[in-house]
Amino acid sequence: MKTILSILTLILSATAGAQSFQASVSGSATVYAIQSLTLTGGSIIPNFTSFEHYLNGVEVKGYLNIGVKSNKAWTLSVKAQNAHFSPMSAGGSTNMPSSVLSVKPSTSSDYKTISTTSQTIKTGNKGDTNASGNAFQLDIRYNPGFSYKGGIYTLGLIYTLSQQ
Amino acid sequence: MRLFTFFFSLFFIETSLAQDANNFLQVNTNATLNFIFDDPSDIESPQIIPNAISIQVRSKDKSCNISARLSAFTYPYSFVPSSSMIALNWTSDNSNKKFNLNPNPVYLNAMDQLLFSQNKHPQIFTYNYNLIFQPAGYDMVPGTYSFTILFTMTQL
Repeated sequence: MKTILSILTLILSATAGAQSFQASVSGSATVYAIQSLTLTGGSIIPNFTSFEHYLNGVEVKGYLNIGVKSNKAWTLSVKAQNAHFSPMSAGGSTNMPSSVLSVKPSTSSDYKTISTTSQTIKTGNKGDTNASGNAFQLDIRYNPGFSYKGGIYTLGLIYTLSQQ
Repeated sequence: MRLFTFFFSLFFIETSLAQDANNFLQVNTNATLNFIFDDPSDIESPQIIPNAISIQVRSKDKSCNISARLSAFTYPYSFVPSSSMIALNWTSDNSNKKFNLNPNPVYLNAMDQLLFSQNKHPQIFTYNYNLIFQPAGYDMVPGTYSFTILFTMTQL
């Protein structure tokens, strides 16, 4: 009986000795829709030096490198800042419309004609620029035809990244 | 003799339980444990709340281990966590009885992770920790991510 009681005592004391105490804290993280758009390049000025250029236009492949970071599915759209190009040289035409320009992702064959109305040029999934489809190039095509005077013209393009 | 042994057993247990008054674990928050992610820089690098948590420990009669784990972690439906996102990083303490202290960020999961051990001593010692939220980049969909950290003092 002594032995039993001694063992019981040891068991109970061992149980009592292995105490643990606990405390807890709680917190949270609030994540908003986060998007980032990076544009590099876009500085190539096309030269119209032949009849063919005026007849068929000039295409610049890989004109612009675009990187998208987004934690939601995204849409990239583009529009012209103004309805017409601005001539940078004296005597230039003031009526050359933005529709002279068209753009498309390099992986697409579907050129979008530029206007002052925003148009979707690409969509994608959440992720950084390593995610499939979130880093890509744009091709651009200039096709003024024969209606406008020679010179240097400018037109602002506005790219807008939004969440779906 | 039986009666003596019985009362001896009761006395021993009561004494062990009475030691609770000498053992102490308290966790204090020194800041609101709320992270805000609203900028690309937030989501691309760890966010830190400096000295967010203080752990006070007294273990008078036995050495002890202090560990922590995530007892709860909830997140938006479409998010799939791939690795531990919450970590504690020791910054300072006033203890001269600590050992096995991990000075590096301790990333928490559902299993207890040892923060430090402390030799028995009647004094209360305080250990301060940064709270780190390691974002999962742009896979972190908008919404609220909530967590509860459970600290456990286990006597050795």
